[in-house]
Amino acid sequence: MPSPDSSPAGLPRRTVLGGLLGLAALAGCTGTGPRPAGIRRPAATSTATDPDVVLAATVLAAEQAALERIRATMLRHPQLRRVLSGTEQVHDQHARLLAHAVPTSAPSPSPSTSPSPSASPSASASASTGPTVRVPPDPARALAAIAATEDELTLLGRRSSFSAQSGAFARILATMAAASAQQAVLLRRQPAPGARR
Amino acid sequence: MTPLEALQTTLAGEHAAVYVYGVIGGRVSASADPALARLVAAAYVTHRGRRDQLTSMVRVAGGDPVAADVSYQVPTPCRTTDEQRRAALVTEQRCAQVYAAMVGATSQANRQWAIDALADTAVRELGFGGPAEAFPGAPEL
Repeated sequence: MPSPDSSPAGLPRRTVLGGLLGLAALAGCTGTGPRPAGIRRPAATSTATDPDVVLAATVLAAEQAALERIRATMLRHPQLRRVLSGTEQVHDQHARLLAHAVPTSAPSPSPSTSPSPSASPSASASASTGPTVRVPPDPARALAAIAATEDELTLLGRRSSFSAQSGAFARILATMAAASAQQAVLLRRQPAPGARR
Repeated sequence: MTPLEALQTTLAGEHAAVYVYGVIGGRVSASADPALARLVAAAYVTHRGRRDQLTSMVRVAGGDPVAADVSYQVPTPCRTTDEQRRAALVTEQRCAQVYAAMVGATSQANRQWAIDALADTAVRELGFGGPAEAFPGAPEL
């Protein structure tokens, strides 16, 4: 299993995504330093209004919200932790990759983005459950709520991929949308937690 | 890769997929594994349809659609249901990479086609026993 910040090929994901959106996005808004050859940048576009950076920030926010819901659900329903651990890893990887493309001046990542999926329950309890995440007390409904979130993420991912200006970024967004489509199917396959076998 | 090259590459991938599913379908036993037989039949129909769509898309883009090879290497010997399932999974995984590449090299309707194909293939992989991934079709991530 590759470490969260490097890809299986060993390249830091920051480099992978940096090459896609232009290093200007990674340098925040300062724009200092020489621009690598081949990175073109529309003259009047700042990082803050680069449509692909805006897209990345939007998708990142949605991924972080999904992570909050997943972690709050794991907390509320510990019997669902095994079922949800793969889902959590997927969105953690999505959020980490996208975070490399969003300048520091953009809204900061949610505090519930813990360094590892195995963060202790007390750590995620203090950090994650904001007032917006309400986890259904029934575990089956809690799973269904996450599946519905996956549906929304797939839709957002597809739309974002379609409108992305960078082809390479569009490709990544499409793979993320596909990942959410997989999760939606997997989560709906689960037998109702607590159901008699 | 130009959009036309991406279309041709994806069409070539569909030719291969159609061939492999033809082989798997010819060997899978509906009595031994009816679920697998159904999935294989559905995948065969889907990839044939995509092959036909891409043939049109290439023509619309001004190209001469690439022809199928006489035969293709099949990922496994396809003698057992496990080998058949594995061959189908490998085929979908390869298609996922091709579709992802096509997303990156196209725009508008062609890109939408590839986005949809990628999501469909990722889900299909699950049916053939494939694991869920964070970036289906992008093995480098």
